[in-house]
Amino acid sequence: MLRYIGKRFVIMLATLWLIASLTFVLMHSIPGDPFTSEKKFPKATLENLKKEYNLDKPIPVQYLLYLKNLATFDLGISIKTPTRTVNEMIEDGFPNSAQLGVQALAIAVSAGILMGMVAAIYQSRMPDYIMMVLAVIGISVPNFVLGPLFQKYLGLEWEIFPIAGWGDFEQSVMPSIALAFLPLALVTRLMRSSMLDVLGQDYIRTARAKGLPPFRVLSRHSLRNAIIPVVTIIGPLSIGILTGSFVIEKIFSIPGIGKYFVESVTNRDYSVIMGVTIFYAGLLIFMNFLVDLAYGLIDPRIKLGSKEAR
Amino acid sequence: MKTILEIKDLHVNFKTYAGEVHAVRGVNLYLNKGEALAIVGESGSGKSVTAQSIMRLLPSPPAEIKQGEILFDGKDILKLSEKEMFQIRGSEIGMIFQDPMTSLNPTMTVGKQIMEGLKWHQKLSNTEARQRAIEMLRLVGIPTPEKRVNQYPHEFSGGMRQRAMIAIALACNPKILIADEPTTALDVTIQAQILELMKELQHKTETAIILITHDLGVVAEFAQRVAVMYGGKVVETGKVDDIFYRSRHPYTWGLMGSMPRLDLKQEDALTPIPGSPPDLFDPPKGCPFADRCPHAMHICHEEMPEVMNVSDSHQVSCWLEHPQAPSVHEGVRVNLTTKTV
Repeated sequence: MLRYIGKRFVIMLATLWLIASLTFVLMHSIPGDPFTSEKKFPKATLENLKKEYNLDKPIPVQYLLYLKNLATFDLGISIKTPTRTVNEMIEDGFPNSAQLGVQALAIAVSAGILMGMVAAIYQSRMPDYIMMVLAVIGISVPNFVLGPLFQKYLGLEWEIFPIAGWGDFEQSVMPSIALAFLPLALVTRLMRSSMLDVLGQDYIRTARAKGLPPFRVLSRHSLRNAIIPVVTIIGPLSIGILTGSFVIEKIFSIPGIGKYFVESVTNRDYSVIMGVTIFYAGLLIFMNFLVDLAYGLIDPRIKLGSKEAR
Repeated sequence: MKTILEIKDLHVNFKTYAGEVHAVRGVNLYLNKGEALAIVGESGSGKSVTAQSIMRLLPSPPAEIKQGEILFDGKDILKLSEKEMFQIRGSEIGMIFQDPMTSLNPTMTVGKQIMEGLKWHQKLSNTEARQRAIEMLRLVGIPTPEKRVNQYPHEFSGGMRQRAMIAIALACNPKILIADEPTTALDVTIQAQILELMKELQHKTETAIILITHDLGVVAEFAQRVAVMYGGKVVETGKVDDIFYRSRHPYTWGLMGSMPRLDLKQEDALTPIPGSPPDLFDPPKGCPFADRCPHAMHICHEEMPEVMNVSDSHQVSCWLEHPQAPSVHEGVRVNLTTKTV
């Protein structure tokens, strides 16, 4: 097991390096640089600025310098707002984005599993149709439509939740739900089909033949088997939620990391682009790793690092 | 002999998009205490549906039990509430299924799957149930049960899984064990072992067994009584010897003829029954076998024959038993013997 984790760690590092290099190449192949703007800088100023950020050096040298900084977890200083380092930006923004994301993920996964189960159990009956209509709405209505709708009805008209802002829990409810909608729909649909598959399996009939009541059959035999595909998509889903939160953060004016991510690209703010990309990539890789570990816990047939396990 | 289970005039239909399938059409059967009854017949003859009706395990919809009674210890199972059924399934009647590879939950240890029924029906504590699970595994011939009890089904071989299934089914000492083609998915050497085990357990535990199979070799070895099903009906029932040596129904003769025999020359060894089983969407009004029967008479296509007593233990529903029917039994027997070399 430890060996497996070690091996995975090395692969994770290699993946990160690859992503860092690719981002670097892509970024430098976009025309323009951070100082491209309508107002022209005097030539001397421009040169000094470039020198300050090492942009005057040849690109291979820039690349090596960048990797060196990355290895020491120094993501550099923002070029557009030179008073802040990228590390600081992530430190400020990420906890908010993470809270939003984790809440949304928790809603999506728990409600999705529940709704998918209900839909499967009542297949082709009313509850199933209701769940599937909700799922289709969830998939087809983008969250920049949902967000303002929530603000208008839940916020302005019925005054259940505050319209926007960030700080206390109440303010986080609406954006979390709005953000959870799409993944919730995906999880519901996946859970429904996987549950239908499991309910038709022979071992469910065996469990019923033992005389167990339906709830016990469901909780002890169906759920655990049906949940395996859902676990698979939690990794990619959580990243979808983190990056998708940019729109939600903007609508509900939440000081998260998504804002920096998008703005940095339009500004060619090299260090911020690189920093945030690497950060997201690392997160995604780590989530996938966690999901792989979770497999082994849920499905005993999957043995991690199978060499030592008989 | 005390009768423990009696099925009276059972009708089961399946609703499909294409129409209603009359899978079981008036089955009458009984099972005595401690007895092994084999139900034989080809695919689609209604064997499994009959068995699953006893457990009320048929998914509804599409299945629907139209009429009939299933008396277990004098009570009609079909009239019980679903809640009362929980007390009977697993506790009074156990069931094992065809494919042991898919019949066990892959994410639960074998021990837990045995313990589950014990904890639910007999309210045993964890340690007691565990002790009993180990005992059961030992009883069904699994070596080092203390270790095996903690393993998952994928760590068991096919034969061992079927043994584990038997352990699950017998854990609560049921009065009846229904085995729905328990050896079909296993290879031949394992088949023999499993049958041997079931026979041995039947003697030890005095459980009555309903064995569903299409393997007549299994029947001869295992059962005391046999019911032959065709087209959703029981066409002949009797003691094993009645069926094997004194059978009176042309379908049973056909089954015998299509069984491989060591004493026949290779080219004569198998005589298939020509034709195919009746369409149960629109079952024939007469005898379901009439279309394939070499001795069919006019009346066979018109009217279903009554059940007739050949002896106390041997019943057959065939028009050939009617006093006015021509005697073909001798001819067939001669036919069978002339093939013998």
